[in-house]
Amino acid sequence: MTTGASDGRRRFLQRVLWAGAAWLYGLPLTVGADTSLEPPRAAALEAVLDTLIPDDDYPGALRAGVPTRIEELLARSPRRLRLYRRGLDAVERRARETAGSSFTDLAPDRRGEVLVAFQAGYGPGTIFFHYVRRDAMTRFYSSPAAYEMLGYQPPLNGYPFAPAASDASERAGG
Amino acid sequence: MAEPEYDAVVVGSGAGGGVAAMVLCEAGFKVLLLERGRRYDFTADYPMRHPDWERHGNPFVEASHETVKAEAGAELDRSRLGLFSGPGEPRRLRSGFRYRRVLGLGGTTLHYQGEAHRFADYAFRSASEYGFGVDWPIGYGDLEPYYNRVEQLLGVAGSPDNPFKPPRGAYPTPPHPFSPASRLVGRGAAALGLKMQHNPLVLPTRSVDGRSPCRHTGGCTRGCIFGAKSSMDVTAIPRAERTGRLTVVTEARVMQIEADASGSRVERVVYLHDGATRSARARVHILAAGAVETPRLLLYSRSAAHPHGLGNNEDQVGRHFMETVTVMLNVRYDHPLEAYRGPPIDARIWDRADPRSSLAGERGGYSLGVSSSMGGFHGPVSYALRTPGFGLEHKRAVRERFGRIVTLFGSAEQESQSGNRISLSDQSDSAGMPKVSVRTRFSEKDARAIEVMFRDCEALAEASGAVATLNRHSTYDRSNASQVAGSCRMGQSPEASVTDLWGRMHGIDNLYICDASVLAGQGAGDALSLTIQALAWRTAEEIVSRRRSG
Repeated sequence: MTTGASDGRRRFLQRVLWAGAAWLYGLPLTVGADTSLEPPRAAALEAVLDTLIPDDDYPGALRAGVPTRIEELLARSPRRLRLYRRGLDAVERRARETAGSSFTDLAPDRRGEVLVAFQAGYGPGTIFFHYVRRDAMTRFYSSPAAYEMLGYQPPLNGYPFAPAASDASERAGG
Repeated sequence: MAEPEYDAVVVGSGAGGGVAAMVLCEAGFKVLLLERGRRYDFTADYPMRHPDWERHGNPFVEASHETVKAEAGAELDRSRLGLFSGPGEPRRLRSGFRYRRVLGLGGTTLHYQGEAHRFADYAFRSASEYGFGVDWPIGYGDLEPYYNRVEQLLGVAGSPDNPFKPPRGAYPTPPHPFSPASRLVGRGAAALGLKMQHNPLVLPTRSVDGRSPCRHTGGCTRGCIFGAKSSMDVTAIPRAERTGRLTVVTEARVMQIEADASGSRVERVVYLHDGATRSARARVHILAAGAVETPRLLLYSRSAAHPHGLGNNEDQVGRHFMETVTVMLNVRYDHPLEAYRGPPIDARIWDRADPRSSLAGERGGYSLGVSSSMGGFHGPVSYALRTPGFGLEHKRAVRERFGRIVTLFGSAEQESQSGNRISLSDQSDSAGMPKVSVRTRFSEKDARAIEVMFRDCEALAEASGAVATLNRHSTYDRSNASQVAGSCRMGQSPEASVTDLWGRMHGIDNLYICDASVLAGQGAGDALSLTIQALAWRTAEEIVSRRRSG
């Protein structure tokens, strides 16, 4: 799981280049099928994912490759893409209103405060929060990085009968 | 196209229909087995084949919305907070009945967790022994030989030394070792004077008929990727197919059971398949569609001789419906338990199952147990989604909890009541058949069972050193369809039952029921499938012997 960060950087650079080219030639930011987020929103999404599942002693969402998995999801689902756009805009608005800065530029704890506000209530920000939390957790916690963190092996070949976690010779209730 | 003719038509391929089809085929009958769902291939279709299996949803299709009209449940007594699920504000109305049943070859056995219980002898005499429900027209002795045969068929793994069950010989395969969670809770139980027992399971610990033994994935509810769980599609149905006499039609929706003009014989079964209406004739017809769909089909099959539904001239079809009386406590331990491994329900406590063993003034008639699956915590994703919050704190909490949350549960029998019933509603499904209304009310005895089971589960949690209770769940305020039964119960008299003691419909010569509908009780909180299967085997044998004798 060391490729995630450079993937992220590469994607970011691609977006910057594309946005620059689009601006130069007067193209709309999305062409053809509308299947991905525009660069500023994509950067905000990465910041959201990093806030939901940060690095600690173990890799977080970015290093586990979650952004790519979510891009694949958004490319498949125009409805989810619209929901993410509206939600990311709500997050950005709140960041500017309450912290006076773009969400992407906030320190991690300030980002957390912005997102906490969306855990309850109504509106596109809250709907987005619940979707992105589910989407991110589902992808992170089924990744090799999370499995390694938890010492979990998926049961592709089954598990041995002998209970592993404590003394197998002991009978229940003695 | 000529109407095909069979010796027997079986409607539904779950626990009862699968066994009945096998017994009839092996006795030389030409059988048509109609199944509403599709056929699943365990070598390809199930999510645990994938490393990221939690991203691959449960493959099984349920059709509650096509079966049950959405309606509010009963008003609840909010003065009895001890009965309610929590945390959260107690509900005013019970949740509407949701009928979670798998459509597919093998029926509910595709997703069941394989508990293989013989009902205790007293469970067949519950009215005369303790004034609860109704006595069965048969006893344990009538079913014992069939319990034996079904257990052999399914390779049940278990231990014979359970003092709370009738004496018996060895199980076909040895018991599973107790899981770490069951050993931990078992020690707490011992401190309370209760004894944890091996739960008999249709998860063979040794190879049976060349199939893989259980591989302890814990994935019983999502489809066993090794074909090790003895569901009907890998046991009884292949055996029936090997006779060359079984015709299986999947994605066949049965719409009518047509009787002749006299009303005393069924002539044909009408079903939808491949966009067309088809029919089949047989000498004998067997309904095995479950305790909701079987009465639904009967009530919808009206004729001049049966204006209120087939076999319903005494207004008994659909009555005495029983659902599930269960409590669950999701608790966390601070020991590594690897709760995601092994059979989902590997242990139960039967000390309180015999109602006569109950403490002064309190209701017995229930069993307790430990489950690694009931609470919805299984793989890493389920833990992450059910752990509140996000960020560093959340990630740390998931690490602390993973594999350490289990469910302590209690399971009782619902008191059989005439007014608890399945009836046709005013709303139709996409095929034009009326959906059912499900009316169930808990009796005071049922409510009391919930209180007592909660108390016992809380005591078990404390005695076994649980560090936290995450939530509690009871069927007092949330319906649960896992153990439904009784809606066409067997009995001596047509005024108080739907079938005779062989499962044959009163007054209709060639129509039998082989599913949970015929159960007169729920065996003091035991799982129903083994009894459904034993009854189906017995009914099928009776059909064979009647044909031979006449």
